[in-house]
Amino acid sequence: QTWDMAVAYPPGNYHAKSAERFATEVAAATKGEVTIKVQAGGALGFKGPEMLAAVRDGLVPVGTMLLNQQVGVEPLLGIASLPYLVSSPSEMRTITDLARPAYDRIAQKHNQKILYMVPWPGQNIFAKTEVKAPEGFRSLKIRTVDRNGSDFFRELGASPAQMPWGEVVPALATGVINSVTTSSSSGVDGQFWDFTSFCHLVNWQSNFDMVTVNLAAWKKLTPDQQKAIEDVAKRLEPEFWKAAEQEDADKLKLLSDKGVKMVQSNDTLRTFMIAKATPKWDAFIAQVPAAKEIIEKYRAAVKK
Amino acid sequence: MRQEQAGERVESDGGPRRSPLALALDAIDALTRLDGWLGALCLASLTAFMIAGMATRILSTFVPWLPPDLPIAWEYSSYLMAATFTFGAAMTLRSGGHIRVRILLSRLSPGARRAVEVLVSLIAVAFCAFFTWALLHFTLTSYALDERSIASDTPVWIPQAVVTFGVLLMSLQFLARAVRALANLPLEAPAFESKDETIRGS
Amino acid sequence: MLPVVGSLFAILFGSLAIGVWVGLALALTGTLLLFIFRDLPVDKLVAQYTWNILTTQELLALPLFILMGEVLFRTRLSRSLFNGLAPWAGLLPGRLLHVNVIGCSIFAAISGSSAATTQVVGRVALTELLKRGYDKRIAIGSLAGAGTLGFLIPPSSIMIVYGVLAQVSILKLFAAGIIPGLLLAACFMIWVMIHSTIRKDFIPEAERALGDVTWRERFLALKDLAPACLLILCVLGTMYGGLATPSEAAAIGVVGALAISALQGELTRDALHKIAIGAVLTCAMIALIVLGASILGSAAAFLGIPRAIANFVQSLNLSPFALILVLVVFYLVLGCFLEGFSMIVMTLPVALPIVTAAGFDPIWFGIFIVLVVEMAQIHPPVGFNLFVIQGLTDESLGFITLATFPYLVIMILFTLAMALFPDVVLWLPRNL
Ligand code: NA
Ligand code: NA
Repeated sequence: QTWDMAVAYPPGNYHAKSAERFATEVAAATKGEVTIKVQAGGALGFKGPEMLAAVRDGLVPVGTMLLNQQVGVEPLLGIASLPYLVSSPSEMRTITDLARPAYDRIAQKHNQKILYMVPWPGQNIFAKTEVKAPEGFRSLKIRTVDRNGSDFFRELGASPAQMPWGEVVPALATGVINSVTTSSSSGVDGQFWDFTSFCHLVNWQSNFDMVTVNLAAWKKLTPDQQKAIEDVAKRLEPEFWKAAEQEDADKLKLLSDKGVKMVQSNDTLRTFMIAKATPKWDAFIAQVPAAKEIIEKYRAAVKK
Repeated sequence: MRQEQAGERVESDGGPRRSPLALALDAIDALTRLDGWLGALCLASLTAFMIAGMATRILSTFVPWLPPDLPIAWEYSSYLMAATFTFGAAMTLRSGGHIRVRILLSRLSPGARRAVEVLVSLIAVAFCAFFTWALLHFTLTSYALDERSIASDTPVWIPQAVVTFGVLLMSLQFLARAVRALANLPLEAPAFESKDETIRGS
Repeated sequence: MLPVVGSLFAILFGSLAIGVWVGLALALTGTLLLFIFRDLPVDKLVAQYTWNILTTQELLALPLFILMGEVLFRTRLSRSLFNGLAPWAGLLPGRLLHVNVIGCSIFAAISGSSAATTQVVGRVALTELLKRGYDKRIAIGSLAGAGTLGFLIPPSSIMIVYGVLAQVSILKLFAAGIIPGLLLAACFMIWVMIHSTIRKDFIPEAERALGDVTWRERFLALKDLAPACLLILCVLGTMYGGLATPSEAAAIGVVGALAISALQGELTRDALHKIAIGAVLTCAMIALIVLGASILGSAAAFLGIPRAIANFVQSLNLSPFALILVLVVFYLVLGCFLEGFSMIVMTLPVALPIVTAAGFDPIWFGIFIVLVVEMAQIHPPVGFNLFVIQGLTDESLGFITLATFPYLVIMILFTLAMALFPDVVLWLPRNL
């Protein structure tokens, strides 16, 4: 069996790299009976938000997808990306363990099976000027990627701007926008030291990628092959999680070396942002009732 | 000569004897013109959306009661662009605007050219039928799953249905072209009534 | 791989030859290849791609610039532009034929796309050039060639795609494009001068007298350039002044063109009708080809064609210059059936490591990629600028291709020269 694996991120991105690693290990574990060809950089023409559908319909047998981009089809997949709900590696682990059965059901419903999940580094704010107090948000013209991000920053007092990635660089260069909210990884992918002097480590949102396999493709494997792949996924997932933490540290260091000043978020700022964030949790439960149980269990577990 | 007479008899407006076929062809043409105008409307609205998005962002700095952003500007502009692209397709075909290689066609005798035109139009009909069906299926899936855009929570089946309709009309226009080629009627009609200073055809 | 590539060329060239519309022929080829060689729900794939491509927000500038071009075409702007430039063009052999190259260089600083540059400049300049009696061959060829500058002179959509994939600074790429862009424009202009000196008959009788105008007349003529300059300043100003992103600036261009047209009293109902329908027809024409090219591109990616060839190139272990020579040929072949974005996305993961291993700078390679993508725009059978010009003039593709051929040769030689003197590319980004 030869499987194409669709990866929307550039070949240098660590999700693409861990996909390569997974492919190598799968080939070894199945003695070359199952080979995975990683197609990074969106080479197959998939951009990300359609990935759940692409694997469901068998357009690609394997794909890695950002959960937060699939909320148009399955709103529950946005649960871990609620602002300030999940803010540390251990909290990431807790929410993933609690939500995994629900994720599995969703994957099943969409004719696929989750192989493993990997977190993204937290969402920070890259800006041309430093935000020191809550009033500072008013000067931000910030690029956001979806409705939730726009809503959150609008409430913080900033002017959110949704624009395609291709416009972000010229817009930052000429001053149409003066800030972007994204992870340290994407900050490096976009070479943000060219345009922004400050990275505010506010970590307001967590994101996850899941790698899934189409069930029809999966069922073509022998039970031994299936077991071998599941074992590889199980063995590598903790390593990928460690790598994700390392990735954040490395990328922040790289940004810092390139001259981006790291701004630790101060208490007033943090309190202000969290105060705007927590009502979103209940709003989300009202919209997606299935999230209620998971969020309650999670809050009890992490004492939030 | 005979060909033009045949064309005039079937195509002239308000003629005494209009076959059902001619009526069907006229109906497709009327839909095509309407579609072209809808395309123009979409193009105008997309320009307006882009300007409005920009104006909101710039002016909200000075005008306190304005919202800080128009979150749907880019997203809806892109839907309108998709609509412009597909709505214009049928009209472009009717006016001979789609690009093709005419090396072979220009060297053939009129009879052989008609035959090739029929063949090519039928290939196009077949492909467009597949294409329309694929888009219809795609749209219905979005509808069934109640798929929303992540930028604004808009149900995406609506713009998808619009695109599907545009492609359906292009298929119909290809079908009309195949019929015209078979019936030896003129295949193309200019989109503008008057000949203007355009360099096209000079 | 041989049966795949064989069927690709057979289906594509076969359907193009019998006169299947280009966009459909491309889409048809991609779809059939997937049906034959891959076990996929092709209908779902085609529908998903179609939706993705038609709603690509990065494409938004294209319909806007097409609309702007249509509006300008209905104004006196092009005539007054030419009246203003004519006395100055008298100073150069080739006269007003240089308007294409200069116009494209200026418009390239506004637009990130090569098709938009060709369409707008062609709409404004081509009619006027032909009306004045200049030879079609140079008018068309220089437009097709110079239109490609849209990618090389910043802003550039191709550079953004490359920068993200190769993790190279997009700002440095933009800077790196400026000098080669101006040099290439100069090369085009030199060729126009040489060509029009050899073939004196290419310049109409009346225009040859332009050399005899006085300097006073030249400066007086400048006032005719005011509307065009104002429009360009308006678009550039909103963009570089931080008011608009490149796509939004295109919308400003539309409004500006409408304003000029209204001030000249030419915005009649009839004109609006023609503008609207004309723009929709051009949009639909270009979109069908973009769509077909992207479907074929994705099919080629699924079938692993570009990667297989790139791997083959890698296995040859060539010297640096020979590698570049082979890559030019490789991209020329890919450019026969792929459009620029597909070419980059599919080949970069293999090509970039080979090239950097041979000692080339990733920024230099970015400019190289832009140049080969530009070449793909002007060589047959799938060349976007050629299609745009066919849409503008209704000349046959064969004629347009022949007229453009010298400019393709210039670009190939220029690219090889860049490989010999990489500092031409790298000087500005290094000293920024
Ligand atoms: Na440009
Ligand atoms: Na080409």
